[in-house]
Amino acid sequence: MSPEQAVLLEAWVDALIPSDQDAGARDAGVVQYIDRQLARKYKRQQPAYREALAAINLLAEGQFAQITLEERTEFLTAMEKGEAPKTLFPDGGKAIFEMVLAHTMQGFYGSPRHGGNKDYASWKMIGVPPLPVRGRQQYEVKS
Amino acid sequence: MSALPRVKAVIIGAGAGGPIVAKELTQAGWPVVLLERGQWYTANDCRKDDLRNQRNSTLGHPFGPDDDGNPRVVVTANGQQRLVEPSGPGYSNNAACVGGGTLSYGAMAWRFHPNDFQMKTVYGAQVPRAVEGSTLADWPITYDELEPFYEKAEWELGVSGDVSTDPFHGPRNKPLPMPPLPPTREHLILEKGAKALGLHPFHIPMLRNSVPYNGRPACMRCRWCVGFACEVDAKCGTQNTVLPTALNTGLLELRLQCMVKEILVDEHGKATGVAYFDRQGQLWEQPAEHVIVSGSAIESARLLLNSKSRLFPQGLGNRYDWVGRNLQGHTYTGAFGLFDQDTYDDVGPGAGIAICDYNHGNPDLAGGAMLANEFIRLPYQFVSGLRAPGVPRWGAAHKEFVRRFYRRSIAVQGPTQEMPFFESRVTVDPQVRDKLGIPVARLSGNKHPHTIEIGDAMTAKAEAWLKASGAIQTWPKKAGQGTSGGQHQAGTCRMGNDPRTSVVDRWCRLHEVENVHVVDGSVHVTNGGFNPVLTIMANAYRVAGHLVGGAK
Ligand SMILES: Cc1cc2nc3c(=O)[nH]c(=O)nc-3n(C[C@H](O)[C@H](O)[C@H](O)COP(=O)(O)OP(=O)(O)OC[C@H]3O[C@@H](n4cnc5c(N)ncnc54)[C@H](O)[C@@H]3O)c2cc1C
Ligand code: SF4
Repeated sequence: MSPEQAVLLEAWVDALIPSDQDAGARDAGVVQYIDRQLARKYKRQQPAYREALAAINLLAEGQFAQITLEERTEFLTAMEKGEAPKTLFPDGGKAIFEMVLAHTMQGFYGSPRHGGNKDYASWKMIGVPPLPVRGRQQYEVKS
Repeated sequence: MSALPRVKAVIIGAGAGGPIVAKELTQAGWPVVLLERGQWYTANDCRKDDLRNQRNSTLGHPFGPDDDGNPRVVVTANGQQRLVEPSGPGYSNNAACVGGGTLSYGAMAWRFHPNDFQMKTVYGAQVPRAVEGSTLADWPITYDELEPFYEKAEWELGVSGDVSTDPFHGPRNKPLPMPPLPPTREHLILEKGAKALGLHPFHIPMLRNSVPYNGRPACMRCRWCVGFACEVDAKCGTQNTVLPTALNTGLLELRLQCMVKEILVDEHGKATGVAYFDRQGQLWEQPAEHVIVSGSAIESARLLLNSKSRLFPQGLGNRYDWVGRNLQGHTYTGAFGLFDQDTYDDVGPGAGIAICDYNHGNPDLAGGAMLANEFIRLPYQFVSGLRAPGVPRWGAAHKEFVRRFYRRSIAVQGPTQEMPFFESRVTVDPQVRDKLGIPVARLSGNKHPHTIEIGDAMTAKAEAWLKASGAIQTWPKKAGQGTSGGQHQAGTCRMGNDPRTSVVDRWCRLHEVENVHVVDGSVHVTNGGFNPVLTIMANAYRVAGHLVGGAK
């Protein structure tokens, strides 16, 4: 993925899981996750990503990485419903929206060994310690 | 094809069934060869990877079969065909490795209920629409005949749990060998709710050491259980119990990465052995006096169907077109609940409490399901599977939902009894072949309407249980249509007394071929409202015992 494409994708995934008091998709390296998988498991999706990133940028008149979260959310909502311009997305954006959403969730919540979920960002958010405690055999209630 | 020295028995598949047979035969002095297409994995291969395991194979799966060159064809209800790779949806993958599914399973160790062996007798007249269009039938054996072998499986492999407060199970001679693991927070919450409803909660029997047993340590209660190999070897599969025992006899030869292509027969219709490819792709003939097929319901059917010869032009054991029929699994239904207190305590394996109040005796339903709390849902699983109705799938509200409820949610579900369906089946694809050139399995058919009905009834029970346990919101997890099978695949080589309506006899021997046995979930006539593995194991002990006792 080129640096320009990475910036566009980052703006996209940031709208899917925005940063707040906890890390969002941007901070958690979701783009690295997707980039890595596009060279492996999702090789066949390379053209789809390339086209979609170009299209969404056209939709935002070349400014997708610069516009606000609300504006990006609006574009993505239209795609989710299949209501993006058919000239840019033949199916109104539905299929690619679903694909990027699935990959984003994987990159944010999955194991960090694949490049996403940096420093266990999402697990920290939900309060799951990264590593199991070895040797624990007794249940203890601690809240 | 070069022929190897003849042995007394060749076994195909080192999953749940095969290694038990291997142990019994070698202990009786038989020289045995066990052929397994996969590899032997150890604790070092146990990566705690949410995206790549035998339960969630988003990025592939660690314990086989290889995604490369092992497809299946899945035919959907509207007749569309898809080529599916092993880690893809709809493939119905268990695993291909030493231990098979038992290396990475959740390890629930259920005995079927006595009624599960007599479904036609119990429900045939009472619920006619369950029989209509289905192949519902009784097993040729009863619970009582299997009971001693359930016990043997429980003690030889190791089961922990406590069923003493479950009044619904069949008679048992001996208690379980190990006490249950201490309850988790979720367990205590659900126990209270169940009791408030007058139900009978108890500790799920599990093939998992709760205390040191058989020279292996107790469970350390981690988060990565179902779908993963156990890092401390506390989970009891065939690979760390019966298989080492069999190897210690010195009479077992285990050959890995060997894929059996077909069962060979002579001009009298007797099996002479098998043909298999080794890891280099070289074809060998392994002659044997007995052939035991344990490749699990889909692959066993595929192997028989691929074993075509002059005497058996439709495949071995398939004169009446029953091989591959009645493919079953389990429709998992239940409910999710959200709570205003923490339910999660990060203490594995997660599942621990169950009720069997609804397995049988539901008015106007032919069966039901055991209901239990789910294993620990890893964060990605939670996000992909658990979302309250109306909660957005992304954006700030999604994040807030996960943050708030990951630790405050419980899933209760169970394996719904499926009505066997003749049209739900495994065939071999006329075109598609695997990387070795063997025709692949083709899965087609649908679920019987009554299966869906039972599932829907179970979702209501699960919701009521969650509500009584204090859930502030609940919603159902309903059954979908589609081909059956999955990790609880069964039924494709039905056991029965009538050769025209079953594939094997009560001793799991092919009606048509006296020296070929099938020993895995394939032979199940019906698949109970319980996870199937202990029944597969018990039946393997029963059949093997008969084989060494009955054959010279
Ligand atoms: C993640 C997971 C969780 C599960 N949880 C539970 C649970 O909690 N409780 C429960 O009861 N069940 C559970 N199961 C299901 C259980 O593991 C299976 O029911 C059981 O393993 C089936 O046993 P089997 O002997 O029929 O087949 P398998 O265990 O699938 O073994 C078949 C073996 O045969 C080999 N094989 C197949 N064809 C060939 C061939 N032609 N040549 C050579 N080798 C071949 C395969 O590689 C495989 O290793 C779970 C399964 C999985 C994967
Ligand atoms: S929960 Fe226990 S049995 Fe399961 S993998 Fe962890 S340590 Fe092993």
